[in-house]
Amino acid sequence: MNVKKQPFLLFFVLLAAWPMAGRAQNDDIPLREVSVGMGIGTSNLKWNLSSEDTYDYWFYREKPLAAYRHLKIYDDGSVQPPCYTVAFRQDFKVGRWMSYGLTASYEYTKNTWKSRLTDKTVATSRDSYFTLMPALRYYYLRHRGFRMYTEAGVGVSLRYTRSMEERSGHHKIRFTGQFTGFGIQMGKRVFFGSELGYGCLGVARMIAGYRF
Amino acid sequence: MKKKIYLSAWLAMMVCCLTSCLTESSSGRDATAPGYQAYEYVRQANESLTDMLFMAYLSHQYFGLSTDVERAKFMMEYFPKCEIRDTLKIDGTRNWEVLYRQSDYYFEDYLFSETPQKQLQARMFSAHNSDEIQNAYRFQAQIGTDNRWTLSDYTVTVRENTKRGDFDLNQFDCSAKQLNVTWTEPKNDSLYCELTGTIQMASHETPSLLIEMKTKEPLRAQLNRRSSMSTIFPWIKGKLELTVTDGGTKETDHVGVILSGNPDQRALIQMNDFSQPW
Repeated sequence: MNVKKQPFLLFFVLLAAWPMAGRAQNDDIPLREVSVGMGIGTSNLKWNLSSEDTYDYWFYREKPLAAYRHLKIYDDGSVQPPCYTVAFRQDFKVGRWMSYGLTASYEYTKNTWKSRLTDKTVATSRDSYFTLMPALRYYYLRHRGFRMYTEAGVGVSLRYTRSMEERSGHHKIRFTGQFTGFGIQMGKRVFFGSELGYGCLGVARMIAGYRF
Repeated sequence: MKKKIYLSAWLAMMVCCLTSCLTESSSGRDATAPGYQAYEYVRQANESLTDMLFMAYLSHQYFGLSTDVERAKFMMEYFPKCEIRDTLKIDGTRNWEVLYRQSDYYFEDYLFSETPQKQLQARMFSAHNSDEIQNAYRFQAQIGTDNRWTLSDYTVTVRENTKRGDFDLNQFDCSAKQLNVTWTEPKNDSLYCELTGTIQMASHETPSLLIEMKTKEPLRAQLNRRSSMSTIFPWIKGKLELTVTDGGTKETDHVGVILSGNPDQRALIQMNDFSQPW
């Protein structure tokens, strides 16, 4: 698996923004926000950075027919776009240091297998996650056009797996969560932001939203 | 100024996220991989046949030796640590058994019987992990003139791995109505066994993998007298055509195998328009 880009710049933002903490002050921007975002490195779909063993058939253990069938196709790899989210937050009126809300997210990975001889796709599978997650946010810095916060949420994920040959797939529901250690927002009504954390929404996230 | 730094950093991060679609690289196509596996099944299941043929041929030479000194030297060279027990019946039939053979295989009991009419019967058994016979090779041969043998009723039953250190589940039944063998000794340091004909194979499973091996050019196994491994007789040259059928889907693949005779013993595998050395 190759990671085309690594969000190392997030760390620079963290370092650059950290001195701002401790200079918190109230603002007068609206209390509600809606946002869209995308994240990478989610806990649902692991990153596999290990190199593939091209010659696995030398060590393949199966009965002859199964081994032969296995060798007629090859894994053409997978594609995993970012995890996309839609979220709503409502600030607490008292103190405005807290907000609560709901995040909905979707992510998937698609795997493809091809015939070695014809190079045509013979099988695909898709692994999708739909997540609904209530969240609680704490702002530790709040300026009129710049906010920093930490956030945690717990929710449920619906995993849906379907291969090309199946009419319907398999689904499974499980608990999931996200902890955001460091989040920043810039802007008053229209804002942009980024988050560093761990969980079903990703290690690194980018956000754009609107407060009303 | 600080806002500009934050904004540019944020934009850079956004670009990273937008282009962060992860792609897992392909594990490699290697179009002829199934063909090579099919050839390995053929080789692993049938190398014992040429092995048996060499044992029979060398036994013939051994029986032809006239002195004990010659026989002792021959035993040291081709049957190290082996024991040959032979009996000659009144009707002229010779029965002999080669025991404790050192080889890559688990086979230890070779039984041969040859009539005065040059009818040879050969059997080889093994029961490596069991009290019962797991693997059995049998054939009959008419020993002709000019070092030409005609094999008939070749049957193989393999229920456990035949080769030491090989963990593949290579369980096949093999059979052939007729095979032709030509012995040639082009130089003093080598002996060739050249096999022609068609062998049918079926794996022990339902549905099974079916392989038909047909020789387009004689399949040559070699005894290399200069090698320290003169008890091993590898396949080194030949042109084979494999018809591989999936017993479940009935899909059939055609595989060409060329053994060049080079010392590296690599096989060139051909499937469709692809050709790869293995």
